Amino acid sequence: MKVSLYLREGEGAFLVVGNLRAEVTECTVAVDMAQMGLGEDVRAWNALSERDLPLQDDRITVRLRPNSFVLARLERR
Amino acid sequence: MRMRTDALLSVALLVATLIPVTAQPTTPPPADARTLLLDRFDEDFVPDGQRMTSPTVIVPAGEHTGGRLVTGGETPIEQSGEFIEGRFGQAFQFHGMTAMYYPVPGNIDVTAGAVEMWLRMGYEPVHPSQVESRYRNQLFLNIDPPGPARFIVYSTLVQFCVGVWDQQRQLVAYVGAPMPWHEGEWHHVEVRWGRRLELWLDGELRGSEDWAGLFGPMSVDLKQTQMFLGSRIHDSDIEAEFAVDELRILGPGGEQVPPYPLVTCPRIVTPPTLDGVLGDGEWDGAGEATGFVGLNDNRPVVDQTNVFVAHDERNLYVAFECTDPENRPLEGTFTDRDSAVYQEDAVDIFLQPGPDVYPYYQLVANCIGTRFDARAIEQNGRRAFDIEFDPEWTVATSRGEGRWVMETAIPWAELEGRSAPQPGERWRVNFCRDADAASRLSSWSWIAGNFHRPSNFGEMVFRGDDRAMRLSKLTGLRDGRPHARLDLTGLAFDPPVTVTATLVDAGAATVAEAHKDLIDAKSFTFEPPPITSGDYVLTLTAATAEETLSYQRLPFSVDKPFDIAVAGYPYEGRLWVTASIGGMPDLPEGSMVRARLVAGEREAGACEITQFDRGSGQGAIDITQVEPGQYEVQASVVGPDGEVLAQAAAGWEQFDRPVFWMSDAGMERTVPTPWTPVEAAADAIRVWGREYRGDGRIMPGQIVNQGQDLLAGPIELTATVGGAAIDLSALPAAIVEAADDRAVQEAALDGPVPMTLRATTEYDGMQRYDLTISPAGEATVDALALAIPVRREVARFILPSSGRFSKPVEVGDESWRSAFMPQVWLGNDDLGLAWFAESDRYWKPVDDDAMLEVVPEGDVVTLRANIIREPRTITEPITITFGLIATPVKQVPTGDPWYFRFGAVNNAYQLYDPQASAIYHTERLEYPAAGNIDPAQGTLEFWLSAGGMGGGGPRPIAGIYGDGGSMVLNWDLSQDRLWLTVPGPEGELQIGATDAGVPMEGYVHVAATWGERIALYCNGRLLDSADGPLPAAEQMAASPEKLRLVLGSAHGWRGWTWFDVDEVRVSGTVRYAGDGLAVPTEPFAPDEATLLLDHLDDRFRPDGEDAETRPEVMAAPGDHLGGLPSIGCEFVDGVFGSGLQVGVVGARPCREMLQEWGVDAYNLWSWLPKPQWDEVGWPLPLFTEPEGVDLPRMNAAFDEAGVRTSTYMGYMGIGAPTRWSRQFGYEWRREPVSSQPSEPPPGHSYLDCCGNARGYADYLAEGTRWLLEEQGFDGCYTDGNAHVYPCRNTHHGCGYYDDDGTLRPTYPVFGTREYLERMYRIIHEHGPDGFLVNHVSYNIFIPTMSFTDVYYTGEHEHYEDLLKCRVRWQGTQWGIWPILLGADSHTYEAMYYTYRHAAQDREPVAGLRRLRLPRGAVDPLLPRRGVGHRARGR
Repeated sequence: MKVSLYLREGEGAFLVVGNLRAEVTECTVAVDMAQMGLGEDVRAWNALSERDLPLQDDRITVRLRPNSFVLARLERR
Repeated sequence: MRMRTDALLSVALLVATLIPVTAQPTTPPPADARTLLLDRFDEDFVPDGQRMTSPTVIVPAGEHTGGRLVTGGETPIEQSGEFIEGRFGQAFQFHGMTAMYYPVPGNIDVTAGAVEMWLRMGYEPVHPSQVESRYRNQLFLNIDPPGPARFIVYSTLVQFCVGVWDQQRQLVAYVGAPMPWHEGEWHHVEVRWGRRLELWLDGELRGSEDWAGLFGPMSVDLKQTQMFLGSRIHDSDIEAEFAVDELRILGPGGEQVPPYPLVTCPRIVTPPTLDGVLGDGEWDGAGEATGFVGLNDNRPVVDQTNVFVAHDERNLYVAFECTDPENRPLEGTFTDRDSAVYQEDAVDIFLQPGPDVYPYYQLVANCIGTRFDARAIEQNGRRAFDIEFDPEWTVATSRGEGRWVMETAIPWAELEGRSAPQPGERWRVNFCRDADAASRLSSWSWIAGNFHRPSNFGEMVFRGDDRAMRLSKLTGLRDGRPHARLDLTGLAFDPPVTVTATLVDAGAATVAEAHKDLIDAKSFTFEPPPITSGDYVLTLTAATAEETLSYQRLPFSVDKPFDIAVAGYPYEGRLWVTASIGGMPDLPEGSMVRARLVAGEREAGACEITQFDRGSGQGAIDITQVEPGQYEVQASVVGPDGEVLAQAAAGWEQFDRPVFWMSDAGMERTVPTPWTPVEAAADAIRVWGREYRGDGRIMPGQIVNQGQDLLAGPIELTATVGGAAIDLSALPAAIVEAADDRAVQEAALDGPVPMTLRATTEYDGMQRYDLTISPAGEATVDALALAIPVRREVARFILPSSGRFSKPVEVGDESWRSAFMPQVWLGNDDLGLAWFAESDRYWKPVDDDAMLEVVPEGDVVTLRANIIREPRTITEPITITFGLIATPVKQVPTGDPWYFRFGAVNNAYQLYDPQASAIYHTERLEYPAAGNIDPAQGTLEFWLSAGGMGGGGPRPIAGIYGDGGSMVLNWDLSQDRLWLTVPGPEGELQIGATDAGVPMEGYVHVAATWGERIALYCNGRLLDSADGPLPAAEQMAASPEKLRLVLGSAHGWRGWTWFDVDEVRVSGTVRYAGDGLAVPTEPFAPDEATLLLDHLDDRFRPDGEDAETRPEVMAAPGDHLGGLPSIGCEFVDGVFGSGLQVGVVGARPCREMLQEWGVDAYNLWSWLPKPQWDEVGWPLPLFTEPEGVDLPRMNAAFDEAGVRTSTYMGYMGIGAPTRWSRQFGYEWRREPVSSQPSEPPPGHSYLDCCGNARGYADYLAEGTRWLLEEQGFDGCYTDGNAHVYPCRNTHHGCGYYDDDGTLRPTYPVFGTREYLERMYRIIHEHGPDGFLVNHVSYNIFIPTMSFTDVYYTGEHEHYEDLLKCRVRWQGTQWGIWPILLGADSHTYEAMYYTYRHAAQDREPVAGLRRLRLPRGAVDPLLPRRGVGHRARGR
């Protein structure tokens, strides 16, 4: 798995979660929203499919196909 | 799996360093299992000529039990030396003409090993010229076989050296390094040999060279060999004045392995079918080896064998392809297990899994598949065989004309319960071939005596992935026309594999060599010129920087007394004839070779060859006036009396001079856009964005780049002559030329050693410095160094480049040091400064890591080029050239993701035809089917609605497709007809009815069942049925991987698929059996029979690729998460929650779409249509007129759509054989030769060329003009042409001979730069939309890449290295707009774009949308930008 994060502090962030494995993998990414200035009310969604991503306790869990990725957008509501 | 992002982000901050670690040993060496000889010198005595040292480990030779002292000259034995306090315990100090001899047999292994010792100089090694001549060298270790051959570890006081001399007393292998040692210091020295010769000083690798064992190809009789420390009493006057301690000699082991062969065993997913037949592609993913040699005779046999190896979790798979050109009848009669099958035509597999010899396994199968297997074990100190060992391994064989094949699978568990080897695990193995005659026995790794010699086994390295090398072809060795081919398997290119082929003769002289970096292609061929009689060794190696994938070293003999090779050099105007007389060793003195160029009876030229070096000589025939036509070179060996002793001939063709002959295209002295003219003033030379400020000095005191100061102080170029240091950079400059495209300044230094420094600044900011030293008679330059102090905030990164590869390094607190590289750049995210040079010619010394340095000190980071560090005597004028270029080189919006918006185009050749170039999409929702559907019985049901969409003809709604059969549900709205079509042996079954009752609005329940009958229900009513199962159910079930489950059209675009679907359920049972069913009133709930259940309630935007539904049940998800809706589908209201509208994006003219999306650039990969492309081969030969396509018309259509066009026009090489390769191949090619197969057409390959070849430059420049003016393109795309490859082809100006007469490579920076500049100028002066794309992966080499509008990069590279992203892929520091090609995985591409564009100060998601664009076709989900591209015009 590979995760990179791009932050516009106080506004939003962008996460790339890549599955470099050969099998479907579930990955939980813990993000410190407060440290990034996003506060507690944050929405997370898949930037390509625009599908909401489950965000609980500052954690996003995604299930990924082999050699696939999700482009996750985080934005304070 | 949980990850914290703060930890991940720190990855970007990792500091890489290239600084080697010094690790001088701190303990005395142990007497371990590898130790052959260990002398600690701890037991002392008074030298008397009789007593010997007492080594801890030694094999004595009779009474010779230790180091025995011998003296010569005037040195009495009692003054030969004494024992002193050593590095550990005591040591021995040598004096005078003294040597210490050791017995040799058993105490050294010439195939592989190492020698280490501690040394201390007995005097201060001051300036060598001031040291007494008797001490001027020190000889530490000598190994002398009979005859003149030598292996010597020695010192020249300033340089520590290891040399090997051949039987002609020629130096054939050498490694050396500076040794700034002082009197009294102990230093650790280690020399290692095996596949390479390596010198380690104080724990640091200081030099290495490709070399086999101690003596390479030379045969050495150890019983007649002498080994000693100290003076060469009988052939040298050098006296020993050093101390030695802890002398240890190691045998093979670790990295010092004998040159036995190595094969990689990859892990495969699909095992081969074991039927004794090498099926198409079946073994393509396997490692492969060939080059079998005779038992007892280490030379290739006629009956060659190819071996294939691969493995998975369960088995080792091996196949043998045994050829027999004579097609002899095979001997294979034994049928009982463990009978003597090895006496027949059979193959052996020897496997030694562990580091210990025992156990090892022998598995033999004869040509009819009878097995013999044994386990070799140690019993009472001797080898014994356990014949009861009978593993269950599968064997299948087949016979064919002139060959037979054996395939096997050996379960790991059957090898005494083993598991599959771990990645990186190494086994000693051998593959052997039996026959009914001992003379026909052969093996992969050479063995003498019998096959049971584990010490001679080769090696097999297991990998956890699909990467391996295939040595598939090795022919022509006996005929003197070697031909080898290697192929890389697997998906990845990174880390890059370099393949090297070296052919050396018996005197260890390199006859031919070639190497290839497998970056873009995965094949390599080696085809050197013909060779004549003699013994040779061919070595083939495929390796990354970290590991070897394949290694084979093959001695062979050629019996052919005389041969010639001819090579035409049209621009040079000569036909070179190489005559090989190596097979005629007894030629009388005064013999020569006469060569005549003839056409029929007419002689067109002639030459004589009288000088031969090691049996080879060259002569040239003037061809400048030779008429085009076919010729023959007839050569004769002529004795001094005129007698013709041997003859040979070779053909040659003189071609017409091509259209690009001596072209001056693009050589105008103009300044192309966007650069501005050079402004030359007394204080500074100014170019776009940069100012080289000298204030009267010849070199900059400051470089102002984009308004920022780069330098922390003035650049200094310091020469030391006669003890005086002169700062040449401060010499007063005079402007001698001030033109728009360049300014030239000169400065001169008078005196006993006159020097001139000429600085040429070109409009892109490139500065070239030529320092010419013109001594009157002989002069010595003691030192010459360039120091460039850069401000710390500028010098955050170092980007060194080998010309082909560049790996960024973050500047830390430690110095970075390197041997010569043609470029070192220092910079940050925005700007920087590159130093570059074409070669290390005149540098001294060379090949150590102190030639280039980056030294951080406080706020200053200094780049140093240490050109002369040891006094260099100069007797004639020399010119040392280097350059600087501040970056970025020009203005481009590197942060703009839309600066160039390339798009893929459907049927580009016919863009002008809206129909022919129309764009279509699929129309379906597809689920993974294997395991989610049972062709034997089941139910497929869902809710269906017309969604208000009428019109169109009949359409498929749902289907099950498989191998040999299908069942498809069709719908015709106009007749309200629903029916199943089921192909069968008696034609197609149609099961269904009109008036099915599907409304235009609202949903109905539809179900199809299959089992004992096939039935179709709609809205609770049985519409129709037919008895019997699906006709092809068994065949479909047998190939589950071919099953498909599709809602919509399975076969691409139809144009009118519209329907809404909800609640898709597949069951493994027949749910409905009667004439009707109760229509469900709520969403389906999972039960035991449910294989697939998708409520389609999770709305998202389908992207045709990554966005999948999330079924509640999917029995066998495989690699998927759900169903994949095509672009054009969208979520709508369903019968319960959401449903999915399976819709279509209408066909639209491509040109219209390009305009709509703002695509403004297009690259046509092949300007020849496919059939013609296949005929001429890749890369396409320029000036070949396309047939059947109208490129000017195509380009005009693009122009109307506002799209700039380029085409793939240049690879750093040409196709061969082609007209151009036949005429110019020798003159243009890079040497060592680099080529790779590239079919079609059959036999076609790439031949890599060099940017320094003027003819090749003319070909590309004139070819650019042809593509623009004749074919209508706006620009060109080159593939790798901005790299600078080392080259030694002297015929086009590359290579130089060093002080020892060795031909060394040069890096053709200026030649490459010039032809790219010519192309750039032609393109930009042709029209305002011109652009030059240079594809440059793995590298940034800015002096040549300067002439680039767009660089494509990142292809095949790993993307995890964020430092690489930052330094090489941003473009900002370089002033060139980047496009990342994407690695071998889509994932990486996404990462790049988020990094590259989302990280910019702009709307991130806009950048992301670029993801879709280069991936082909069109994406209706992209923002409708309108025709937002730039205004165009010609």
